[in-house]
Amino acid sequence: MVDVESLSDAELRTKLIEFGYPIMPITGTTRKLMQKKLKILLDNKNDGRRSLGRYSSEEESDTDVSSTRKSNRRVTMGAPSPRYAKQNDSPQPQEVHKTTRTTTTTRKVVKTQSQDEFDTGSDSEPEIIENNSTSFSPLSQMNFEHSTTKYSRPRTVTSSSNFSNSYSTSLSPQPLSSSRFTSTTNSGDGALDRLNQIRSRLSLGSPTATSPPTSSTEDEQTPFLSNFTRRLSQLSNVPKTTDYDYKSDIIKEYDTNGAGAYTRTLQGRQPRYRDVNQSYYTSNAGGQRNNMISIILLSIFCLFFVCLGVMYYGMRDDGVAVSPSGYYIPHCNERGKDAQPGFNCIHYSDVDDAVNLMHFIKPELIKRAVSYGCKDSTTRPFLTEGEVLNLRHVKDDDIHAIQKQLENMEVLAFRNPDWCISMVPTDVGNDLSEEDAFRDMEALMSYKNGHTVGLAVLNPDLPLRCRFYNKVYTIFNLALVIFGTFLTLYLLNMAYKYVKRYHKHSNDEVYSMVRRIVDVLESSGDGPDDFLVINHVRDMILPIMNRKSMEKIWMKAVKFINENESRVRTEVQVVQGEPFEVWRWLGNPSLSSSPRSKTWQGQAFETQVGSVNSLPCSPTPCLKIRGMMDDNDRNPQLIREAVLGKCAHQCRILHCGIDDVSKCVYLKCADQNDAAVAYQNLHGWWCSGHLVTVKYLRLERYMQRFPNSPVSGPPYLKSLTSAKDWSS
Amino acid sequence: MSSTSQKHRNFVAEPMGDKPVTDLAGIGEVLGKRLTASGFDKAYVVLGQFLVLKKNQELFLEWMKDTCQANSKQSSDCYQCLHDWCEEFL
Repeated sequence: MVDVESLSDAELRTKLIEFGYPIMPITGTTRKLMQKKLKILLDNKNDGRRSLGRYSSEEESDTDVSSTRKSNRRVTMGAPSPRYAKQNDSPQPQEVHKTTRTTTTTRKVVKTQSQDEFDTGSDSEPEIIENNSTSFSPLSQMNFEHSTTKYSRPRTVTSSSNFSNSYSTSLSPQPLSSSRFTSTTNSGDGALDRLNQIRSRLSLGSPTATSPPTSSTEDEQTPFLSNFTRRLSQLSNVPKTTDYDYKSDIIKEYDTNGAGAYTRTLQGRQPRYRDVNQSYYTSNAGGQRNNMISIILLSIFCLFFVCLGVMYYGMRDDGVAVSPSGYYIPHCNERGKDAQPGFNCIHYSDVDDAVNLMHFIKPELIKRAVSYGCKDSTTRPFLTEGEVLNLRHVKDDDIHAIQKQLENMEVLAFRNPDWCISMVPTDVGNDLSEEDAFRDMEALMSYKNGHTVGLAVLNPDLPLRCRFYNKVYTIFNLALVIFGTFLTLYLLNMAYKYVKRYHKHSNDEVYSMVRRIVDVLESSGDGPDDFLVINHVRDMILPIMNRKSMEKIWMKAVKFINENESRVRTEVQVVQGEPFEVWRWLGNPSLSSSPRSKTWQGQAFETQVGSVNSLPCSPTPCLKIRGMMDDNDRNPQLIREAVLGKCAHQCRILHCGIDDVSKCVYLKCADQNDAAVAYQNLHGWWCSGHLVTVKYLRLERYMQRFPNSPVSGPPYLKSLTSAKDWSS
Repeated sequence: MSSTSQKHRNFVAEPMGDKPVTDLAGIGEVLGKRLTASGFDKAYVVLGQFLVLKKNQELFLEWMKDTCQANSKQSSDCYQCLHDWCEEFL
């Protein structure tokens, strides 16, 4: 593969076209972008090939994967040596010791890992050593080895190879361009040589020590000889060559292109493993900072709700519990002149008594309120002043003192709303609310004259069960109301529909009745006295048993006919000496006198020879007859027959044509004389309610219109009907 | 695009003339400075680049990122702005 950076504009363009990318102008500003694009495309291509290989090797052993991968890397690769050597300055010895100590699985993973380092280390290792030499201490490397082995054990062999692979990529925090890499290797070449020698001396023993057990274990796992031999050759490469790194370095220099391409593939792959990389850093190097933050957030979240709950309960407790101190007590001394004990202030000496009274009656009040709210709504939710006195009187018989205590307590109750004691009128019923309670002492006093004042706890703290019942009861009530509303709406709808249907039904009945009446009248309308007594019509239509029940409909039908039926006239006629209301059938004149056939009804004006309406001699043998056709006449044969019947007996007619468009009948006679006869017979006659007019038509016009008409007789047209004398 | 910013509407409303690069939607002071530093001092220069990239959104966003480290919101705002302007006036 070629180095993307060094491509010329044209090459870059052709490369992109190869990948099916649309042609773009490569300019100074777009060049970078296009290079990036090409890189991505190349990576994708390689990636696709790689993933394919991985899938196919999924069922094979780990070593198979690594070896197959190695096989094409081997050739193209060469970069890793400088990194490997450098890394070995600090962590590698540790790693070697580690490997010798751990189990075979560990060793295997480490081995693959180290192999991967050979392969992929070309990415970034120099940078790691520069940046991470302090943080990446031998100890952390050790830790990492542990974690790697731990991870790899429970997984499948393939996954362990993946992991090691990810590790190797994770060593490079940021992708390094191949050009940079090359430069580093080149510049550090001299130093690298020295380092390689040191490294080879240090690690000479380790691969040789590890290789025999590794190969034996892998031998069991890979039965494929080819894979085995390939791997063996790699293994033998590692231990045998003391100057292995140096060699590979040389190979790398020869194979720069391949190395570059390979580096790119790994760079492309890096993002995929970045999360593994991250988790590794956080779990081992970075500590559990992320976890800590989330735990702290969670605990703060919980703490917030706990505090909220505590505060809520605290508030509730404050509301319910009455602290003994902290009452607002209006002392009479403070108010000066307008002090009225028992009205707007109390004396010091009376405070204790009043508070005691409050403590005495409050449980009783709460008890009453609860029993009213929960058990029995017939009990009164309040204590009247008299009842208070009676209650107190059991212990103390000075009734006036108690009265005074009560007044003082009332004053205090107004001043201390947190006592929850309200003074209420007793005559508004048991269902008390905040609105009913007195607002101040004056209202209370004015009410006291003549009425009894009650003391009540309006909003008692009801037991849970009771509150639950109340809620359920309320919901039930609400549901009932809603249900009732819906039921009412439904019933209303039903009723409306029923009424509508009933109206329609009765109307239908009336109409059918009217139709029957009209039928009866029409059928009996032909007689000499064509009227019928109304009652007789009813008796004809309705059977005897229905007459009573159908009377309403009958009346409606009669009314309807009187108002809306024009063909029937209601009049009073004397029938057999008795006057009756009768219906006379007037009928439909247009219907009754519309014979469909064409008939000649008579002559409108004189057309005999010499009259002003006819010409002295006929100019042509052709006639044009108007007024024979109605708009809706569709039977030309009938019209033709009518025309011929009228005149064919007196003259010789050659042709008779009918034109639907102009609504005219054209007549061609044998000669002018015949035309004159026909003219006199047709002109000025009534035919089916129409006046017929006839004109002479020029022969050329006639021939134009009817080119096929015969020029001369003998076959003259004859009428089917016998001759009839129309003149009468 | 649910709604467009006032800046976007202002830019798309008229020919760009000699407007500075900061008049483009999504280009603030900082990005404007960076673009000016890399030679894109006028809106029409950015338009030129936009057109050279054949109005390709992906490439333009990438270019914005490269040239002035614009984030995806800024660069897509700018892209939308130029795109709409072209629809209107080109």
